[in-house]
Amino acid sequence: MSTWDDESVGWVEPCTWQSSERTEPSSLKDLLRGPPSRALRRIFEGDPLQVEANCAARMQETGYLLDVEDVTLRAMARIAHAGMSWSGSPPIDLWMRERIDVSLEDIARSDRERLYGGERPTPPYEPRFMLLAERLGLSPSEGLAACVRFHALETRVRVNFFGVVVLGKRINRWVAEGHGPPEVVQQDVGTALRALSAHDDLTGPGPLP
Amino acid sequence: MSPFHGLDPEVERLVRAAAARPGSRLLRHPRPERPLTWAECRVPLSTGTVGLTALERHLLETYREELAASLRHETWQVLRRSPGYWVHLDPAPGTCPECQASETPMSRSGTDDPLCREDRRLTAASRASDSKDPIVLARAAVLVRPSGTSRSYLLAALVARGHHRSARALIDALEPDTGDPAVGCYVAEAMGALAAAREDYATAHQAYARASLYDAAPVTALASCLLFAAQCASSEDFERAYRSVDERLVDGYELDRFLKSQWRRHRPTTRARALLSGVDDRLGPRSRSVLNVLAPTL
Repeated sequence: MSTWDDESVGWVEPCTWQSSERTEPSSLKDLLRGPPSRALRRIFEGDPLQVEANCAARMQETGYLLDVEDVTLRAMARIAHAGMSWSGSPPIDLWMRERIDVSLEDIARSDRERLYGGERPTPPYEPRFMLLAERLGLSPSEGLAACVRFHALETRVRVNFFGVVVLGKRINRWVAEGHGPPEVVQQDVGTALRALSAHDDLTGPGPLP
Repeated sequence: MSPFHGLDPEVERLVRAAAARPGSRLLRHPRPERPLTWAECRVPLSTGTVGLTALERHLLETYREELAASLRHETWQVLRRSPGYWVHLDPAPGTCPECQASETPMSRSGTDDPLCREDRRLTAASRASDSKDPIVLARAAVLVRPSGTSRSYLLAALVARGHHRSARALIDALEPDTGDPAVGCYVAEAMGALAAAREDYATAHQAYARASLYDAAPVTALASCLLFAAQCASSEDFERAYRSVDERLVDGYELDRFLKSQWRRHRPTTRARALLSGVDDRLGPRSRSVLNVLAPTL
């Protein structure tokens, strides 16, 4: 018998910005009306606003190394909390994107606070730390410091790293998708790798595995 | 072979260069010798899923249906080789007409959603298993194509591997899909298997009788209906069960193997033996063959 644990899995539709245009504004207002707790329940069940898919797309667009489920839950909470203030303008997608961006920064800031507070990841590791371990041979216990350093980089650098290392796209393909000349992409990936591999984080160097 | 699974060689060069710098932490941690499989992947399986190779992305984009059907087929292949496999699944690969109907996207993440909880458990289970584990295969099918059909195969795998608690949660989650005859039949059969496992033969008989009402009910469900009717039902119910399944039973090695396994697992009562003996003289050739397997000592 296998052992079970409480790891979570998110389900996301294809990673492109999901439009909610099919939903009429009046229906959207119905979703967001009332106390935040009720609005949260409505947008959580079945994810009618496709918050999760939009979070995944936005993470890719902005190059954040976070777990989509964390971002989704945070974004849903922010959307529910601010729902009463949405009057139908700006369009729901744009309005929701602002909430998602704030959520991304919320969690990135929370990462910094965890790191500065001396936290060092322990098993079970977050999937993003496991991804860095699998891709780059970086100890997952150093994943938090690496992510904090990574998020301090400029957006273009993060996005280029995300494309060719996290998504695993070939540089030529990534360039063909409109992400700048190959020299810039290579330079950005090198910059990101140096940031991820640095050892001067505020918690001090940990023991090598 | 390069340890950089799925990375552009140019990126690999950059990683090695960064790792060679003094004090670098890259490439200091043991990395897996093989890429993570889909079943081990915790992130969702869309073409934008983080960590997939270009080939996997292409497969998802172009051959999602075929891929899911192949995974289901492989699940069935593994299950049918398992001792005492309990359900007959449609082995037809390549085509998947069932996927066209009753499509219900997998529930979104949420702590209160039983299916989500189930998936968390399955993720852990699949990590600890090899690729020939039917749970891993069926879960991969669900990841690729979260249809009621895919989840029916996952249900079969869970029951076959003894994950009864998980199977019950999945049955609850499949409830909206039971309008699809194939899914409804598999769910009824799974409920019968679960009830039989806890020796609740009356419930098992009811569930298998419900499964046998479907036109496409597999012979295993029909035979199980007969078996558990003999174990627990009244004489009238047994007669009814026998009449309803007689013409639909077919002989075959697979059925024989299944019934022998069932017979060993659920020892017939004296009364069940008597019931089976009582109808022996009136049986058609197919049912006689079945009962010969069910009650070899009659």
